[in-house]
This record gives sequence, structure tokens and C-alpha cells, in this order.
Amino acid sequence: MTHMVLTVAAILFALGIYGVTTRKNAIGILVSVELMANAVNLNLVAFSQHWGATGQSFALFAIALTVAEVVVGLALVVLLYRTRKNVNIDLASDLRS
Amino acid sequence: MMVDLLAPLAADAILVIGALSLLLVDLILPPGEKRILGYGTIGVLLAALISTFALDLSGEAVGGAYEGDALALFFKRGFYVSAILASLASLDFGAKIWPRRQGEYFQLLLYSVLGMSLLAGVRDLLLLAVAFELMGVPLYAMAAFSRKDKLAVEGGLKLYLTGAVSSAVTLYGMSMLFGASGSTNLAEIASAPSSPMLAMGVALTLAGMGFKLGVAPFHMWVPDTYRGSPPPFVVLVAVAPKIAGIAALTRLLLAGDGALLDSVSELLLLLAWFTVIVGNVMALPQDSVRRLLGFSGVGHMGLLLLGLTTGTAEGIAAMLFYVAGYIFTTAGALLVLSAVADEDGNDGLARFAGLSQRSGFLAFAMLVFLLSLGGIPFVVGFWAKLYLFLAAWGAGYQLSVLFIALVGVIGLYYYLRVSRAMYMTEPTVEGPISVDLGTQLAIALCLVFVVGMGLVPQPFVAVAETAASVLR
Amino acid sequence: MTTAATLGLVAVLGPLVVALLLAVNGPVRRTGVGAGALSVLAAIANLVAALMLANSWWGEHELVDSTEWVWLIANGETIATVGVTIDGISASMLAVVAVVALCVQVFSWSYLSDEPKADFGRYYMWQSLFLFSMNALVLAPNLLQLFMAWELVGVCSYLLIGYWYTKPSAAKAAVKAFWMTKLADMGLMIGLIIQYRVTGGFGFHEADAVALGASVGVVTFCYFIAVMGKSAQFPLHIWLPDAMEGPTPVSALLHAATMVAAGVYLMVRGWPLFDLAEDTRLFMALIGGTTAIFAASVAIVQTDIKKVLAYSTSSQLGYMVAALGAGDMIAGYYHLTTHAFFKALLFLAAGSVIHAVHSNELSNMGGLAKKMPLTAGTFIIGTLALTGTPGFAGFFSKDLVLEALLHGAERNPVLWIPLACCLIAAGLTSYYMFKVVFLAFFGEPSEAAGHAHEGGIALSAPLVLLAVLSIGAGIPVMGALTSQWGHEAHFHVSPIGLAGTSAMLLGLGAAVQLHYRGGSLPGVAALAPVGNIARSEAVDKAWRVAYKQGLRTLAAGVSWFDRYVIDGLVNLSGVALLLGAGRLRAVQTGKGGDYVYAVLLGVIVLAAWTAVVSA
Repeated sequence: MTHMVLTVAAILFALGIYGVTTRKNAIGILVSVELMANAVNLNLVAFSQHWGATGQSFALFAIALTVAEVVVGLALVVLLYRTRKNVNIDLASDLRS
Repeated sequence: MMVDLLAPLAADAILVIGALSLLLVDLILPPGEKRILGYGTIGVLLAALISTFALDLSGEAVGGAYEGDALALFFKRGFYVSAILASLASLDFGAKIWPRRQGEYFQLLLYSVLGMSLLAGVRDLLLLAVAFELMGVPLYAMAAFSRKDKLAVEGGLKLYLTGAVSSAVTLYGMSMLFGASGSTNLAEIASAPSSPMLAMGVALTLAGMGFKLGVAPFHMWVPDTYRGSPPPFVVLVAVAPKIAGIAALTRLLLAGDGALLDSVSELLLLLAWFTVIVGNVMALPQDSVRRLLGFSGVGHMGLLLLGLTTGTAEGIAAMLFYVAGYIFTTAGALLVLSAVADEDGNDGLARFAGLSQRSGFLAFAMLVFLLSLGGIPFVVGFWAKLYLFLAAWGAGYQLSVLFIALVGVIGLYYYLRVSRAMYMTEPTVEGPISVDLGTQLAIALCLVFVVGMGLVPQPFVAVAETAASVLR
Repeated sequence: MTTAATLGLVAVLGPLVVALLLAVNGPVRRTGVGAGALSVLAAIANLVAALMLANSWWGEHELVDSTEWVWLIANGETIATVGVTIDGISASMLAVVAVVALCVQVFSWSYLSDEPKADFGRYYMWQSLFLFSMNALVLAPNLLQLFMAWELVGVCSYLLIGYWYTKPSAAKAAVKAFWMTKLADMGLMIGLIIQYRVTGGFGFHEADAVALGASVGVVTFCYFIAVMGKSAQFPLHIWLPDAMEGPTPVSALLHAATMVAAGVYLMVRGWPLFDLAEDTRLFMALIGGTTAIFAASVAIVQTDIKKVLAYSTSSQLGYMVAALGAGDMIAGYYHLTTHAFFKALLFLAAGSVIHAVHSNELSNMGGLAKKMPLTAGTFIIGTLALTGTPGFAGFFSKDLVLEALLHGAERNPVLWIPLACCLIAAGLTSYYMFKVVFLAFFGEPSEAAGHAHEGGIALSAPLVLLAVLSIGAGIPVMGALTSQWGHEAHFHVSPIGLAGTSAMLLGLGAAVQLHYRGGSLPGVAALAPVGNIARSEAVDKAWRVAYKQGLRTLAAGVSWFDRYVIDGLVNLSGVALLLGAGRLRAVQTGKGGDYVYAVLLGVIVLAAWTAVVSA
């Protein structure tokens, strides 16, 4: 049972990675990061089957952390839109060597 | 009871209380008088710094998740000092560019420093995760604090994107660490029977922390954020989070008997080599001095990784001394840069042309910092490099020492380019440079320490050794 | 603290105080003359201290005094100490440095008098800084302090070469010189690390050499790499000719007499180590011999008077390295001391000429002997000393070098190679030096040379002093050095000495034949017989053919190799690195998506590595 959940989590994580690399829309990337974060939560909960409640409390913390991060991320996307009228991250490439 | 539990965290408590009081003060201050918040922040940081000397901060806290020991104190002082330097540079800049939002900026700074400060003595995976995020999230916001500046927003966004992905990877790695060991205590994780899942967990966590350190290939945000973000923020981000990353790695990998380090030491070396090459070679063609220093900082991270890889008390002590030197040298160079760059943030070599004629103090300070970065004697960089190489050679990493020393010579070329521009060309922009008092003070502090640690390295080495002796 | 240690500290700290004062106090520095006066005062104090030390050493012959302070302790072991060590070697070297430095500082006063005041002050600030670093190097009680001072003289060299920074070539040359020597310095650093790891210290005494055991070969080899960079040995010599972009007095002090000799001094200082390292010494001898003949060949076709002298310096340093390689420390060190005097003299005299005609090119000189008799006379004395004319300082030291190589060759036949190289190089040296003398001081004056006139007392006094030393430093210094170490090296007429002198006469003959364009100085008249023998009809033709077809072509070939292959390789590797880095920039696309991609790539590599290792 645990193994199946872990596998699902791994697939979820991989999907997140796929989304992060292929999406050009900043919101899309944020959603993909959420997928990766959810894989982490799934992992933690699955492990707590073996190890007890510590994993679940870890998962709660992880959820809070991810939320905080995404909130700042959304704010940055808003700023990106305000300064460039666009949320395609590849178009924001004034800084480069 | 409660007091006893939190006593080792007194310095952190000062930060929390100070930040909250400043928040309240900010609410009642009229818009034109926000400047005082900057002074308040520096006062809070100073108080925290003094408390690390004046109070007894040793012992366990929060149920063993944190332990105040000499190493924790060492890192805490590093964070507070770099935050003070960055705040000094922010005083005038903030009052000029975002006069009404100074309070927010310093709030974010204090919370980020709080996260680092907790990382310094972390003993538990959960606290590690929380403190790491507490440090990172305010930095994203600060990077894009000049909201209308296209470049700042871009630099902030890049920092955020790579950071968010990295922290997702880190958390995934941490979940594996927990899964493989059944504990969140770092020492217990280290003593768990080795398994593929444990190894994978360490590797993924390492990858995530490599981002904060700016280790190649996780370094791509470094030059862009340096160039795009507000200069006083760059002083902070170039120093404090990187050292926090090193602190976290040291705590994680050397927990218990250091079994985790042994499992990834080859990986660390691989990263160190790659980082040194990327940092030094990519710095060569840069025209923006901030980008140049960014890549140079990437190169220096490779040396720190080498020190960490040794895992010996001597190697860690050498790494810590290097960290101390890095704080003042890098912060100093970036402080000079923030004074020299123009309003639009242009910092090409042309801005440095003939600097010696425009401001002898800035040019001389920059020369000293560059010499230190290049490892020339009588400034701290020389001892740091020598000590680190001696330790790494003794620990059996001869080949790495040879390689890193040789690649480091490439670095001299771009330091020379800057010093040549300062001393051996005519200025393209006329007129003396006016530097605000806070930045001047910060530069002078860095100068004193860079030269002082070069002339009298003994006390600092002794402190680094005491700090390193708590491991293993 | 003993008197000797106090004097040593005065020598080291005096210039430092002046340099710091000038660095901190802008107004004093910008007065120019005031800065110069302070710097010269420190140089005088330095000379007095050095002479007192040398004098007491001369009398007692057993002066050894070392005062050290602990600087850095780590892991309960002392890593670094700092202090002064005064013994025969350091006291005599200190005196040499002090004399040349004072001469150069006095000479510069007049030479740079047209410079802006602020630049003049800056120049003297760096001169003082250099004197401090050089003294710290010479008096170093251990190799670590020597290394630190070594790096600092490199920095001074960088600053002084780039003094005329408005010339782009000067700034470029400064960077190149620093970068190349610094690359070689890594050898010294690695060597020091190994030595510390094996012996727990950085000493250079017999005990340290014994403690090194089998590692002595590796350690000395690492040290020698740094020597090759600093002392301009083939193929790392290429920065030295470029360094001539600096003011001529700087070339005289740093790039002829003292800084470039620091490499040789390192080996003399660490002689107990090198003495035990048979293989390293063989390598040294071969590199030294190669440098001697190679640089001498290149010097032949140079048209810039300073470049001739630069290659000559490289060649003479090759002699010293070869002598040390052959196992004779005294010979190498003795040649260092005499060379310091006459090469500094040659550079300063050349500087006096350049000051008068405003050009480095030999074609813009000519006939200067009448206009500038003192300069011409001293330059000729320097030339006679350099070429090893019997009676002059260079004669004795060169003779000792050749003898050392001969002795070595009797034990190890491979050393015949450097011996042959040095003998041929002696002939070449004599040829190109007399060529310079004839072209610059005799014959028809060029347009620029027509208005030349002798400089003031500040220009001529140093020349006279150095000329006296170039003549007189021969026997007494040798006596002092040999009695100090009980070395059997009293001068005597030997076949190898005769061979050296013959090579020199051969070169002189060629120079007279090909470049002597009339004039009637008594000295030259005395040389006429040599020219006359060479001037007979048949020999004349043979000479010209041999010169045109042989020597010249060969030298041009070697010079081409030097210019385009060695220098080219150095520049090419730099350009390649820059181009490669330029290509790599493309990776930094500026697109956020690609950055995330790089992060994930790194994650995957780490994960894959872990999976493979743990599977």
C-alpha cells in the first residue's frame, strides 16, 4: 500500500517537473510547483503509516510553507504583469550575459 | 520553564521582538519619518549580535530541535554582521527609492535573518525546513522590492522560480530522509542504516541547498539577481543566504557521526569542481561588475564545498575562516559597487574607469577587496585560501587542491581588469562620487576587517577552530 | 632583540612606514617632491642598516641571527611566523638590494622630473612599497614569509609596469606579467602545502630538508616552477620583454637587479632542500642552459635597447639557474650579486640615453659617445662586466659558473649540454652587447641623437657608483662569499675560463667587424687588433657569409619562435579562454525557463549519480 502511494507521489512529482520545464506562463509554473509540493505531502503522509504521526505534522508544516511561498510567487507574477503586460517568463529576459 | 526552554534562542527572540515592535512603530509613524525604522533595525541586529557575546546561549531548545553551540554562535554572528552591513547600505537608498515602504523592507530583512539565525543551530529536519523557508521567502519579495523596475522584478522572479523549484526538491528529499529513517532528528537520520532512499534523500536535499549557495548548475539566478535587484539587497543576498546554506549543509551532513557526508562526498567534490570552473570562466567575459562579482562568488562557493567535503575538524575550521573572510570581502566589494553604480544600476567597467581619481577611498577599498578575493597576501583572502588548501591537502584531496588552485588563477584576470580600470584608465564620467554615510561606514568596517584579519588572523582562526570542534 | 635584528627591522619597516604614510596622506603624496624625498630618505636609512649588517657579517663571518614572532597558530601547530633572519646570504643580498634601490630612486628623481606631481608621488609610494616587500623577502626567516613577500613584489611590479597607464601597451603588459608570474606562483604555493604537510613547517634549513625525506624532489620541483616564472626562465620568460613598458629605472630595479633575481634567491635560500634534490637540479641546469642560449639568440635581433637588455637579463638568469643546477650555490649566488650591479648600471645608462634622445630604438641613437661621455663610459663599463672581460666583476662570476658546470659535467655527462649552451651564449652576449655599444655610442649620430646632452648629477651619480661596483665587486665579494662557506673557489686560470674569454673575444670581433663605424676612443683603439685580425680579406668574406647566412638567420628564427610560438601560445590560450567563455555566455540565456531547466538538470544528475552509486 505504502509503495503504491509513493509511486503515485513520484509520478506527481515528475509531472510537476514536466510542467515546470515546459510551461512558459508564470502561473502555469506556479501550479506545477504546487504539484511537486503535493507529491511531498503525499510522501510524508504515506511514510507516517510506518513511522507514526510525525510525518503528518511534517506534512502540515510543508503545506503551510508551500502556501507562503506561492503567495509571494503570485505577487511577483502580478508585478511581472504590471511591468511588462505579459506573464510569459521567457519574454522577461533583459538580464543575461 | 518556558524561559529555560527558549534561553538558547535569546538572540532570535530579540529579533522577533524587535521586528514586531518596529512593525507597530511603522504603523504610527508619519510617512516622512520612516527613516528611523532603519536605525531601529540596525539597533535590533546589534542587540542580537551583542547578545551572542554577552549571554550564555548554549544548550538545547524547542525539544532538542535547536542546540546553541559554538558553531551556531559563529554562524549567527556571521548573519548578523552581514545583515548590519546590508542595512547600513539600505538606509539612504531606501529613504530615496521607497521612502514610504522602508518599514516593510526592514521587516522582511529581519524575518529572513531570523530564519538564518535558527538554521545556525538546527538539529531537526522540521525546523530545518521551516527555517530555510523563513529565510528564503522574504528574500524573494526583497529582490523585487523596486516594484516598478523591470529588471528588479525580473531578477526577483528568476530568484523565485529557481528557488521555488529548489525548495520543492529539497522538501521531497527531506520526505525521503524521514521515510528512510523514521525520525526527523538529524543525528538519528545519520545513524539510520544506509539505503538507496536515504542516499537519494540526501542528494535531493543537497540539490535544493545548492540553490541557496549558488553552486553550479543551480547558480543561474546569481548574476541576474545581482544585476537586477536593488544594490543594498545584493549586499545581503550575496553573503547571508549563501552562508546560511553552508550552515544548513554543515548541520545536516555532519550530524551524528557524519555518515551522511560520507555518502555524498564524491557528489560534493563533483559540484565543487564544476562550480569553480563555471564561476571563474564565466566571469571572464562579463562587463557588468556586479555580474562579474556574482560569478566570482559562485567560484568561491566551490572552495567552501571543498572545505566541507573534508569533514575533518581542520577542514571545517578552514571553511569557517573562509566564510568569515568571504563575508567582509564580498560585502565590501558589493558595497563599493552600490556606491559607484549610477541611478539606473549601470555598473559596467566604464563606471569604474579612473575611479582612483574620482574617489581615492572607494578605489583603494575596492582594490583591497579584489586583492583579498584573489588571495594576495596581507589581506584575509590569502590566509583563507592557504588554510583551506592546507587542510584539504592534509585530508587527502590533493588533486582537488591542485585543480582548484590553478583554476583560481584565471580569476585573477578579471580582478585585474577591474583594478586596471580603476587605476590605469582615465575616467569616463567626471566629478567626485558622493557616498552616503551609512555605505561609507559599512565599507570602512569591511576594510578594517579584511585588512585586520589579514594582519592578525589568529583570533579569528581560534574562534573558527572552537566552532568546528563541536562537530564529530 | 639583538642589534642585528633591530637593523633588519629598520630595513624592512622604514620603507613600509613611508609607503603607508604616502598611501594614507594624499596631500603629501601629491606634492611629488616631498613624497620622493621621504622615499629616498627611507632608502638611505635602509642602505645604512644594510651596510652595517653586511659589515658586521664581513668581519665575523659567522653572523647568524634570527628573530621571529608567531603569527598564526592552527590546530595547536604554528603555521606562520614572521620576522627577520640575518646571515651571510640575507645580509649580502640586503646590501645589494639597498645599493641598487637607492641608485634607482635617485636616478628616477631626475628621470621622471617632467611627470605630474601626483604621479611622481604615486611612483615613489610604490617604490617604497617595493623596497619593503623586497626586504621582507630577503630577510624572510621561513619560506612562507618569503612567499608572501614574493606575491607582494609581484603586485608592485604590476603597479610599476603600468605606471604609464595612458599607454595601452603598458597596462596590457602589466596584466600579462602579473598573470603569468602568478600562474607560476601556484607552484610555490603547492610546494609549501606539501612541505607543511610533510614536515609541519616552512623552514629552509638542513633539518627541514632531511625531514622532507623522499618528498624533497616534488617540493623543490614545485618551487622551481615558481622560479621559472619569476626569474623569466624559458618558456615562462615571455612576460619580461613586455615588462619593459614600465619606466626604465623600474626595469633596472625590478626587472634586472632584484625582483627577477628573487627566483634565484629563493633557491639559494632553500639550498639545503635543493642540494638534496638531484633530479630537480638536473632539470634546473637544463632549463638554465636553454634559457641562456635562447634568450641570447633573441637579443641579437632586437632593435629596442631595453628589449636587448631584457633578453640579456633572462639569459644571465639562465646562467645562475644553470650553476645552481650543477650543484654550486656560491657560483649562482655570486653571479646574482655582480649581475645586479652591472645590469642595473646598463639599464640606468640606457635610461639616460633614452632620456636624451626620447626613443628606445637603436636606429635613433648613434655617435652619442661625444655628446654623453659619462653615460657612454659607464655603459661600456657595464658591457665589459656583462660580457665577462677579464678584470671586471662579471668575468669572475661567469668564470665560476662555467667551472661549476664543468665540475658537474664530470659527474653527470648530461651537464655538458648546459655548459655548451652557456659557452655559446657567452659569445652571443658579447656580440649583441658590443653591437649595442657601437650602434648607440659610435658612428654617425642620428637626427634625434644630435641634440642629446648629459643629464644632471642625479642621473650621473648613480651611474658612477654602479660603475665602480661593476669593476670592483669582483674579487672582494668572491672572497667574502667563499670564506663564509669555506668554499674552494679562488680564482685561477683554467681551460674553461680561457674558453669563456675566447667566446667573448669572438663575439667582440664579430661586433667590431659588423657594426663598428669609426670613432676614436682610446678604449676602442686598443681593441683594434682584434678587429684587424678579423678584417683580413678572406676572413672578412667568411664572416659576412657566416653572419648573414648563419647567425642572423638562426637568431631571426629563434626570435620568430619566441615572438610567435611561445608568446603566441600564451596569448592564444588567453584568447581561447576568453572566446570559450564568450561561447559559454550563451548558456546564460536570460530566460527563466532555462534556469529552472538547469536546476532540474542538476537534480537529475545528482539523483542519477546517487542511484548508480547506491545500487
